[in-house]
Amino acid sequence: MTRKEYIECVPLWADALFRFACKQTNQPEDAQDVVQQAFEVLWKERENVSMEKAKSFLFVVAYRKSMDVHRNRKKVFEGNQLIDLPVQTEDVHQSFARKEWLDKALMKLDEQSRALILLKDLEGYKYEEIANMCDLSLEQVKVYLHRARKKLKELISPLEFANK
Amino acid sequence: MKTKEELIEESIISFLDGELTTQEAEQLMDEISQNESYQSLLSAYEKAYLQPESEIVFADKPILLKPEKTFILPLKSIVGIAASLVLLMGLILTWQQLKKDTAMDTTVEQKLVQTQSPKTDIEIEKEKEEEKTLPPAPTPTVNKGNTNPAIPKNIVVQKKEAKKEIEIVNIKEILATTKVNPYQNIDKINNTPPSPRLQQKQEIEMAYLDFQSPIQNKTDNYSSEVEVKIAGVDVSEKMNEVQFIRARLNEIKDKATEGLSLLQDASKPKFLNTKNTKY
Repeated sequence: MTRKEYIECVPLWADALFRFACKQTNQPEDAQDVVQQAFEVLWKERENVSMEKAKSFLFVVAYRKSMDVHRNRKKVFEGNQLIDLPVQTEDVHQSFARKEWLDKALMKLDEQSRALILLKDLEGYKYEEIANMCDLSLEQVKVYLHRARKKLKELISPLEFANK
Repeated sequence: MKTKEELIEESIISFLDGELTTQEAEQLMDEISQNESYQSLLSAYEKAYLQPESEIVFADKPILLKPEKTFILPLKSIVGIAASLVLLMGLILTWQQLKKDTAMDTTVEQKLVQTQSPKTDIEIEKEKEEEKTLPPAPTPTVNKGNTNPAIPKNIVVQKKEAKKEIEIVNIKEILATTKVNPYQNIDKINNTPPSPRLQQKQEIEMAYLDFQSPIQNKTDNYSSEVEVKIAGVDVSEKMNEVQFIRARLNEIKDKATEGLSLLQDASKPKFLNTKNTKY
């Protein structure tokens, strides 16, 4: 990758990477650090990374960095119930409320499951690609993702009940 | 062993993840359409999927861009370079000055050569013939006749019956005694002995210059009867002219001093003789 290609990568993937990092770390400041670190690593390794693989490389680095952030924080989200979840019955705010619910429910997942969900939903990676990026087998990715989906469904079910 | 519901649930997740083939997807949709509980399950899972949020953007993109590296010289290097430049300039100026000086020397030589009246081809041929017919140069003799202390020892004076002849034999030694030798550079450059004609010119030129400084006083003692020869060329007439001009100059000088003294006297204030004045 040349310097010019690297510069092209910044507007292409910085926002997506930041969204992923925001969801992963749940802190915009940490997410900014993660994005900067990811691009820094890409800059250092630009001779070994092609333009086509730049995106997945950035997400792999961001995934690992966000995992490091969690390790440093040593924060464990406990409890099965969501506290202070906003319940909106109005149709206009339903999607917004669902999004908030989902975000909070996402934070209930473990870091790895969350990263898999984000890579799948936000970036549209295939199971195989995610397996390569996260150093997991294809079966592991399938299992972790299915578990995470079930948990998310369970977590947002009270909202559905309230809406009904 | 997984139940049918569990398998349908897995298939729904795989379908929503886009991992099923079109055939598998069609098969699943057929089954879902036949069962309402599966439909509600599908809608519940659909809501558990995240949607991309385009409103979240990374604002500090410029910090991610890597600027091109610019080469910045440290201050020490700048000072060093400046000092070396100054030195270089000084050297160049000195070299140019030296070059100018040498050029001036060569112009002086050229002017000296130009002062000699140009000779025609006939004259040159005549001179060549004369050179051929000239008797061999007299060998330097012991300076027995030179009793005048003003004359250097290397000048040989040969007394004749009517006129005295001074022949400068070792002209190079005299040239060495003079302050300026314009021909020394030519000798150095050429590294070849000058032609007899050029040598003769040089000798005449240098002898003429010598009259201005060291030999001048020495030749004053000789009368017009003395015949002076430099390398076989009679220059006694020129010497007489020089003496005549010098005598005229002395006269003018004397008159000028007299005039000056008269002027000084005239400018002095005249005091009244108070002793003899009666009021």
